Amino acid sequence: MLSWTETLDGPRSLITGQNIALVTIEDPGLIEVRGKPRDRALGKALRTLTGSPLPTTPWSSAGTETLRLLWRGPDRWWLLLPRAEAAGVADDLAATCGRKAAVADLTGAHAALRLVGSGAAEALARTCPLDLRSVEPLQARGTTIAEISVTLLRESESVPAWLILVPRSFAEGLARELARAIRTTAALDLFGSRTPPV
Amino acid sequence: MKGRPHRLKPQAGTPFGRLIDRARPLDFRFDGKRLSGVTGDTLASALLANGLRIAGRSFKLHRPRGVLGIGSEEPNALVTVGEGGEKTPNLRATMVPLADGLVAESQNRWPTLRRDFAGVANRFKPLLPPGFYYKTFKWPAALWPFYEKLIRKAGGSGRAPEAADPDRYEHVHLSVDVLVAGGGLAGLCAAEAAAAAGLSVLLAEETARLGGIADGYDGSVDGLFLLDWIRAKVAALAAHPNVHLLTRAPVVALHEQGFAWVVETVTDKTTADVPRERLWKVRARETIVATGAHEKPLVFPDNDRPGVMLATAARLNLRRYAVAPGQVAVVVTSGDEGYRTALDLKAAGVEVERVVDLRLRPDSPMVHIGMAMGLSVSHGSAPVAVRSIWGGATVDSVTVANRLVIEGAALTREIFCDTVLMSGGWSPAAQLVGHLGARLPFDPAIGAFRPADLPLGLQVAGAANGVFDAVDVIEDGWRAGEEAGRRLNPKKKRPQNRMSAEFDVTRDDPSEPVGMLPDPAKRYEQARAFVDFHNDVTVGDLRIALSEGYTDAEHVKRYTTLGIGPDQGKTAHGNSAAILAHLTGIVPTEQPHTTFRPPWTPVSFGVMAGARRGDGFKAARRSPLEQIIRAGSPPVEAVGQWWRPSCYPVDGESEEDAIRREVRAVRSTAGILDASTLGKITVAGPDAARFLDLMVATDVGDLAPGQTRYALFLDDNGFIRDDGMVARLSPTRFLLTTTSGNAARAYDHLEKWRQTEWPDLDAHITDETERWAQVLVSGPEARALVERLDGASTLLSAGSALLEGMVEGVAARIMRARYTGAPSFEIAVAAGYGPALWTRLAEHGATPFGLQTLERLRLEAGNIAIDHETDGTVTPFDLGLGRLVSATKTDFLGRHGLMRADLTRANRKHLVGLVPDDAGLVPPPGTQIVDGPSAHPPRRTSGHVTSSGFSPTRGRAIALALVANGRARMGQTVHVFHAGEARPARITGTDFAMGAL
Repeated sequence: MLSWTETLDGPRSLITGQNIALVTIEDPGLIEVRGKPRDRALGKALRTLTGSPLPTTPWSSAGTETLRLLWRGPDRWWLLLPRAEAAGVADDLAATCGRKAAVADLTGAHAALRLVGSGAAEALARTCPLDLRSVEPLQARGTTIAEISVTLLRESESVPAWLILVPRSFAEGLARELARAIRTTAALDLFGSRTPPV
Repeated sequence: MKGRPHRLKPQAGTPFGRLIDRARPLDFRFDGKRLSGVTGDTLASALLANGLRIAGRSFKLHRPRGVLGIGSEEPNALVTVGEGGEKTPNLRATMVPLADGLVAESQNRWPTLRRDFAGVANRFKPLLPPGFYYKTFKWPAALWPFYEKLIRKAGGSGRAPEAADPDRYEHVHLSVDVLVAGGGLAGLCAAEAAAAAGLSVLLAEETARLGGIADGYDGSVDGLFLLDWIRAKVAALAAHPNVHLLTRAPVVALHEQGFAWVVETVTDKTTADVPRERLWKVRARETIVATGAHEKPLVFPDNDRPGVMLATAARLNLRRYAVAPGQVAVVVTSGDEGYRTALDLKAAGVEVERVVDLRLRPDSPMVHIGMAMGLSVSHGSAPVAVRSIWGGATVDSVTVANRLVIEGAALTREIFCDTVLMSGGWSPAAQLVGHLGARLPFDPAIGAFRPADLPLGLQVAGAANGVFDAVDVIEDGWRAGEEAGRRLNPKKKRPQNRMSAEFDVTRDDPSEPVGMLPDPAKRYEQARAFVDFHNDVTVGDLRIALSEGYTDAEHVKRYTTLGIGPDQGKTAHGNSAAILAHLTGIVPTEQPHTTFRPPWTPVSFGVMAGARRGDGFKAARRSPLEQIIRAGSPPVEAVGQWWRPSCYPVDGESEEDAIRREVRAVRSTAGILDASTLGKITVAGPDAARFLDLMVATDVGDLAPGQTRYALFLDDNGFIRDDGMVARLSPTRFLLTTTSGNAARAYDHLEKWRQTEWPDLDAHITDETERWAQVLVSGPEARALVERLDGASTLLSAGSALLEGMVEGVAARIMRARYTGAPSFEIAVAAGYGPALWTRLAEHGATPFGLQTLERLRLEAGNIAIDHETDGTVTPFDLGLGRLVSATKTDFLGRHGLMRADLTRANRKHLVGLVPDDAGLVPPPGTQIVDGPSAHPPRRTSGHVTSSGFSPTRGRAIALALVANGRARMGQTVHVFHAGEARPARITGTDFAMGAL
């Protein structure tokens, strides 16, 4: 059996600041599901997996702690899950989703990083054009970070935490650009209380 | 000319010098000379305080010039600041805060500011009319490069630094509800009202302070002195959680849909990590332009002498920096501002010889206050001459004349002075509005352009809106902020911002909108009356342009250079419009302005690039095998965003030697190549076969599962856009491979056609490129090598061209290929398993080979490479690949294009092999091919070399070429132009490996 080489050197903290941490995580399992939202077989197969209806609101998601189904387009979803389970789940889905839908195991195509802490907004302001205020918890967005296409998932409500999915080939460049942004010591102090002179 | 120092002595109880700290002196250097200023100074105020009245030389005529204005409108005092890579040219001295050790240089002079060699240009002014260069340097045309060099040396602004910029720059994105451009009274009030409406606000101010030029005025609002009232507002805004305040950050560009650029100069630059400048890319739902107004100069002969300054600028220099413009002043004004300045000068101990008011019967509060305070005032007079004894470097007297003459010559009077302060009223500085394509109509009442019809999501407030009195400005700011609240948050109830009745700010009567002065000026006087100071454009120049037929404002701008350059004519466009309307006799309201384009003020290239420089210029993509294949630092080449090894030299081999060794290894044993970058796209669904048959020129619907076919993708013109293998994985699932550089484009192309043309087909496209690491194993021993992988031999025994199954315990795809001309297998495994697979194959003895080696191998095999043999104008038939175009399908992309007459004619260029007679001669791709070597130029080319190289297998140079009617010319000799020499070569078939020679 061949051994797996992680895209970004496995789980570790790339950089930590006072209020921010950029963490690489294990390459996640990733399955792309294509089909019509009204396809019953597909809906049923996915509901069995996630326990909730197929997310059809743009960029919404459904799922559990370890398994998340993400709206990625009107006929396109991504299923994020532990890598070890991906191949099996993909085979099961392909067998149950009906003949009109398509399932592709894309595990390895995307690497994942996690940006955690109250400083995340500032790091993203330096790299990403997205209006973060418009993203609800457990919603995602297709956007760019340092001009690299990424999928950004807002993970929780309590702590600012963003999961960044980036095409494998761009992962290292992205990590470098993000680290550079985090290391910039000149705080933007967005909406802070600096009083300029009159 | 250096005069006496102009810094006022500290006097208790005066309003002068409120921004400076005399106890903290600063040393700086200007043109190599050590000077000193104080903390709080700008470079301009420090130069004035040192008595340096010449701050620069003009662009074309090299006339000596002094500081004219107070902010970014400054057209004269352009300086180069900094040293080495940090050197920045064309900064306005009025906008440069003085710092200890600052090094500044004047521009456009040689050898010194005072003795400028090119200053003789001014003597020849009559010989240098607008269009001079076009008229004079036309003949002979061949000498233009020489002329250009001279002109560039003589004209122009500062020089770009030679060294690389050592500093960092960054871009920051911010989405807000409201962007307020300008932090003066109007901007602050607009921000306050918008924030009160629950909106998030970014307020961006160009200067280092908020409050604009309110410090030039006295009075009180809500029982507070104006400045204290502003301080209270600023403190409240700063504490507001919805408001972000930026200073030293002009909004330089407004784009569609609320996208704006704000360039911030970072002041606390302490470590290398801190950027020098920051570009805020702001996306706002509403934008309020509150950029204030600029004072217009008056246009009279020699109005550009050092010592002539804008009245409000002089007043602000006094109040902020305690710097007097001179010792003896004459104030010429068309409105009330001149009186304010005159009163300040008087209070500061500067002798005010006379206030010359252009208005016939001014009757405003300020006029009465001025007269009551003992100012000597002339009404209905205008300056007609400025005398200068020292070669134009000083002002020695100004001559004023009656404007209204009933009979005979005007009464004139020469007044001796060293300073002339002028005020021609205000011109709204709403250029940002023009960035969105809006045209500002000319308002004859104020003699300037004033915003009217605004695009959606945009408002203008305060002086930028043509509202000039402090009280009205405050009201207008609130109005704009409240309006933004109403638009974005229609339901919310909000408190009204209103001033208490207690305010006491003197209101001004409107200025008289004057254009050209004096009204009946002689031609030679007009030739010295400057409209655009920076570009040396005078009234006479405008007249010449008009008389030569350039009547449109845009034409006049191009012909005379009016309004171009670092200041973008901020002090010029109001006056020039009035004058042009006057000269052409059109109704002033019809006079258009030239297009206001971004940026509002000059922007450094560094900040535009931001982090996108050096290794951050463009993200590089990394193959899953990157760490292994790049370990020995092999030479690499760019393919799209990938960097792929060309070859793997060992033991100090040259690149060419390495390529030849690798080719021999593939031809004799087996080699491995990282093919992970190839595009891999699956098309799945019940209609996948139908969809692909529409997209691909080659028949693919008839493939059985497990079969593969080399196929061509055409664009709708019938030209080849890509090639690749199409494999049928199952009855409803296909795999397409594309070239590395085309993968993303191919996916978009497929999706575009599926979504727009055939949305009813049940076919789903998935880009699997990043999912797979792929290794190409090629050579006579390739099969044996692959079979040594655990599980592969069972898989291969099935005999299909494409196999899916387990190899070494992981899911894999194996596809047969013949691109190299040798038996080959492409093995794909999930990306993370790639490095292990490569290592396994290398351990089994395979020779790694690079992209150049692959190029050589496919050249020997006569196979095409996209973008080598194709260039967007090549059809399958041109390449002899007509068999790949389906003859049975009724429709596919490109079919109709291929039927066009020009694509079917016989003498199109065909792909052929080319063998130079000289076995060692490798004509590089792009080499032109001619039939006869002796024909005289211009020669007709009959084609060009598309790929070439030395074939280690054949032991000689070979090439592929597109040659007109080539297939009918087998065996004929043509000539390739190499290093200027025509060398003979023979046309052959393309399959060199199979013995095409």
